[in-house]
Amino acid sequence: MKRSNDPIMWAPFGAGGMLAALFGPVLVFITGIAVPLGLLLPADTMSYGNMLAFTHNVIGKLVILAVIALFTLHGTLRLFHSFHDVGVHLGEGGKFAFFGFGLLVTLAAIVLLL
Amino acid sequence: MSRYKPQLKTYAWHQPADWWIHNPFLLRYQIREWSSLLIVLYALVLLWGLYDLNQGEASWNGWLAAMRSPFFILFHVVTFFVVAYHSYTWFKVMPKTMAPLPIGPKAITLGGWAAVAVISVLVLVITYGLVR
Repeated sequence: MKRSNDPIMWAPFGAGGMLAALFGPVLVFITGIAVPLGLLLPADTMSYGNMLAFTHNVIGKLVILAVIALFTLHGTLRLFHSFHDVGVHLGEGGKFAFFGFGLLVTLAAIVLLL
Repeated sequence: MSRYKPQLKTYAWHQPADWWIHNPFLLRYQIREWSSLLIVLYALVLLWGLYDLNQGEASWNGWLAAMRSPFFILFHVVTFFVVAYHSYTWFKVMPKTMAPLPIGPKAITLGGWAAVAVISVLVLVITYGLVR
């Protein structure tokens, strides 16, 4: 039997799903609601200086990379199967296109963080 | 359009496109699965922010201004609720999706939800502490 390529895609799916479940709501709240609307957190929370310091820190880099890469790789696998659910059967090529898109996003984040 | 195709030897059944609308269980399934679309879009918004940050201060402030627009406020409010629903369902199905643990299924689900609450408060407090 041909060896399945599924585990390579399901591993980041699981990691991303867990990361999104644990950290997703609070991250969306901070970057998308609290900071833009000036709620709870100081007005300069995501100022240029603060964000530059965060992205120049190794831990900050890893946090940003993990969130962007794993959220995307989680979502693209799930989306691939959701398309199947509504009658759009993308096949093996579509599966690699979705996964490839996730890898491209991951690569872009790495390049931007270097 | 008729689905009757006389050239076919056997009747091919096609699932209707609205199979998930009329059953609340399947509707919730679809909301859960399509939460992934908003999770991907959120990651792309962050990637766009990272790109703008690299371009310099004016560019970054442009991203911040875009986040204050009604469109992105609405996008993030909807995404917040959908991702929160993902958190809810992720731990709800966890007893079925992971290898058996010595603790019961209820403890896994409740433990997961408790972890989300603790982490949410911790991230807010740490962020506040870092930028204060």
